Amino acid sequence: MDDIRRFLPLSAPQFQILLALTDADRHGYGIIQEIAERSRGATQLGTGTLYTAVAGLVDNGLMADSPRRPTADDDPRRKYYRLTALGRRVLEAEAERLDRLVREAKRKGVGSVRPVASRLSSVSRTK
Amino acid sequence: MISRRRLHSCATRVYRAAMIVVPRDIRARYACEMEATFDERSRDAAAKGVMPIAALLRHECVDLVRARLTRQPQAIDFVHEQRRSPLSALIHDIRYACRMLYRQPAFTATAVVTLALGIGATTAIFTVVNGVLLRPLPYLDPQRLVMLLQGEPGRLLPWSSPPNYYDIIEGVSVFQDTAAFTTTTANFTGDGDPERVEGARVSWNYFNVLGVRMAEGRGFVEDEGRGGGDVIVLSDALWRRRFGARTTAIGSTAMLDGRAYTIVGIAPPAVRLPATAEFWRPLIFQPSDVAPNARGAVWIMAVGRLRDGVTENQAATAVAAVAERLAREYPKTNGGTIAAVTPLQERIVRNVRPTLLLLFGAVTLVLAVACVNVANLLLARAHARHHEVAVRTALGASRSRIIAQFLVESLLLAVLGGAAGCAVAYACLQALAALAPASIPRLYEIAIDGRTLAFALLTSLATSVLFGIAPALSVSRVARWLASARGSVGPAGATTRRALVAAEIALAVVLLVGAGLLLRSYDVVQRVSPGFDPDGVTTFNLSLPETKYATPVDVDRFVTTLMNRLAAQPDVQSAAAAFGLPFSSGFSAHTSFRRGAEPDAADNPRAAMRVVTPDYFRTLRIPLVAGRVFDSRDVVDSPEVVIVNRQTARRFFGGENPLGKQIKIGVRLVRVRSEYKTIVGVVGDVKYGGLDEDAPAEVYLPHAQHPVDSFTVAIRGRRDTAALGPMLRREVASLDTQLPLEKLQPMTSLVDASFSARRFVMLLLVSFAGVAVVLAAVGVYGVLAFIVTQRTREIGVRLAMGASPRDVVRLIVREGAALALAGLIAGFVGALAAGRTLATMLFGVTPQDPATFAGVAIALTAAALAASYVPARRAARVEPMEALRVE
Repeated sequence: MDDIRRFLPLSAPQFQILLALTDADRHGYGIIQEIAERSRGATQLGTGTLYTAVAGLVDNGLMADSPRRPTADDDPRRKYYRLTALGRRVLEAEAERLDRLVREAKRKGVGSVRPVASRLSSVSRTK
Repeated sequence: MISRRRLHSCATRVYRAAMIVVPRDIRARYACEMEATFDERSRDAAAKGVMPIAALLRHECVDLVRARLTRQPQAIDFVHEQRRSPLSALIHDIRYACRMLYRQPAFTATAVVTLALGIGATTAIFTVVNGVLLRPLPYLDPQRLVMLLQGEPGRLLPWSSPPNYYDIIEGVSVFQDTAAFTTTTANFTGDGDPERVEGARVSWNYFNVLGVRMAEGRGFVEDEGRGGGDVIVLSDALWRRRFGARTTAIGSTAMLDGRAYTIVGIAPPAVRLPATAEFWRPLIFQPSDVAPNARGAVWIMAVGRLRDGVTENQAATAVAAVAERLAREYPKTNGGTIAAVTPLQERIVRNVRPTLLLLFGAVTLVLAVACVNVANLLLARAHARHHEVAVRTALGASRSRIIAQFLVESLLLAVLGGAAGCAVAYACLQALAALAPASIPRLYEIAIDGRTLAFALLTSLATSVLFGIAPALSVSRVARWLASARGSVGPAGATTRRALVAAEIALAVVLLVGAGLLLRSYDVVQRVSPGFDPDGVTTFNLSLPETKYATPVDVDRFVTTLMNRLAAQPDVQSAAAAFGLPFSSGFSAHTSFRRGAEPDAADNPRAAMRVVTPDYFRTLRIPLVAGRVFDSRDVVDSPEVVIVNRQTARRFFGGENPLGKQIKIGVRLVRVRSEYKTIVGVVGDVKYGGLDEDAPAEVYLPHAQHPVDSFTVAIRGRRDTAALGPMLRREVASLDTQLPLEKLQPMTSLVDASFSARRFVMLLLVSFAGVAVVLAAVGVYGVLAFIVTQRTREIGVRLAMGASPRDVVRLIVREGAALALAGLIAGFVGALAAGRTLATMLFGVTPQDPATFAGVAIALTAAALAASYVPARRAARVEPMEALRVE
């Protein structure tokens, strides 16, 4: 458990990237597209932000290169990434932490729930 | 299609170039992938059109920068808020502040522009203050250079006579070295047009006393101070203008007044003493200059270098003691005369100091208004960030961390404002240099230097604390409040904001009153009649070199011929020559005179002396009050005559009729004759130095009886100066090709120049006040908009209870009026207190001028009400049901 808490909180891009890899291995553009679709276009991750975050996540073993190639004629410059077991545990711990935080905030009567949640993501992203 | 493909490849190229900002390690690992990812994205975007790909490129480039800025030192930053070291906390705060400012471009731009105006204007004025008042003179150890002053108590002047000068410097031991100098002018001939240049005659050791090394060549040597050779040192400007900055000029000759001088040195550009000197030649005293009877003729100035360890006070005491002795020994010339020393720099800048300090004070007020405005903006923004503060507090940020965060943002704003302010200052200085009257000394030394930049930086830092502390404290209070209570409305920040806006209005009122008083003074001065009619008069100066016009007869022949020839021109109504033309500041002299058989005494009346040709009064339209003006009867061997002005008649002849009375003037103008003269006419008074001065007592002498070789020609023409110029040059050249026309200009510009300093200060203060009022109006608008937002619910209730929109407008406008009233009262108190500093610059109005105060009250109330109107209208349009649902 201590191991995992060391990684918390995740920045917003880190959280989003790990989340994008939960259901499939993806290449860079694939991750961007998944996040955009899931957020209905609200979150457009930049390429620079993506790879800066990817570097950190790979170095810390939360995600790793994937050997997978969907088709033979796929762009050879593409590289695929997968979520590691550690990455999945950290992601789950982070989701739990956020949930707890939001509930605490609500209990204290801080504003309506939605603005706090949206603020929270932006604040934690900038940590 | 082709254009889209080109667009796509072009975008990829731009992106590849922009990747330079990506940290090296990331680039090494992911450059290929990043390029591929961007490539795919841009291909998709290119398919949609030109705008999407442009938007993508912009978004991606900004993202590269943001990724770089937000990247943590470690690969992943998992440090908690509470556990930051102070340094990493600071770095984090700076990054965070960068992002906050970047995300709110409108707010950032407003704050930065406001600060840039305030800091820029303040820095510009400080640069002038620095260059003129603070920066040492460009000489060796300038703080030890002093100027010798003599005169009556309370009226000390730098002029001395050679015998007094020698007695004083030989009677004291406080000086390491001293030098005498006096101003002179000469007709400079040679290549190009003849030119009248100003210069100085100086003791041979003059440049040694100042501690100046020549840029080229050498200074004077002792032998040259005793008349060994005609040598000259040129100013840098004259050297460039007349000799093309050629070093071969050293050793060549310069022709001055038809005499050849060997150029021995070129002074560095910084040497400007006397201020307008463009050449220096040795000052050689003739035996008659230092003879005992020459003690009363004051025509030299003296500069001295104090010995090491001698203070200015010690030197002053020493010279005062000698002057006291001289006053006892020579009561006739030195009776009542005292002596003192003053630092050279002090002497140069003393007239302009009050003006510059006033401007500096005024611009500081503008800066204060700018600070208050930004503080208000920040308060509004702080209010909008309650949620953010709440979350950060919930995450464990301490109160001091939150204050620090807000202060860092203020600091960042101030630094941005300061940087932009430097650009504003630079632009202001260009404008100032163009507008400033020539009467401000050392203007050429004004430049942005290290001290100016340090000032801008310090000002920025100080302002950031000034405008940042209130919002930061308010926010931290919010944080505490949020941690303890419930609800979604913060504590009322409106009181602080109201107070700030009232303060802002008060500052603007002080500036407005000052500007108003100066404007009224300017208006009054401009309407003052000078006593003559300068419209349609063209003037220029002529100086006849002694080498060519040796006798008074030669001079008179030249002047008479020239006047006749000019008067015969079809474009000329009348022409006159005068020694002592009003406002021309070139040639003037005073003389004492004796009435009737009065003995020569110290309290003989003194009057300004003018020497004029017969048509002078007609040309300037100076009215004849009694008797007659000069005419062709008044020639060299006819009885000597004189005309006085009303002031002289009133002051020195009481109620008696001065016509026919005899006077004997103290200055001997022509050696052969200078006997009792009969007053034949009385003319109207004319202002001489400025419209805000009293007209002096004057005595007019006919030129034919007292020819002077330096004079101003005045032409009343049927055409303007530009049109007359060629004809005037042609006529003068037809008599003497070597004679330059100096300062050819309309007389109206002479009169205008006399109040250019007043206009300069007035314009600056009016623009400062204008900026302050605009900022104050923005402040009023801001706080009322805030109040309207805060009271939306209350307004909704009022409307629901049957209040009309007009009532709501009245409610909000009343808020604005209350702010204006509070600001006006505080501002008037401040303006009355500040009025004393302005008193010396006022003319025809008192510092408490009711009309000015009333005008300011009206203007400011109007501005405040106008600024209230928009928020008031918005309040009136509140939908009651909407407002009640807001909670």
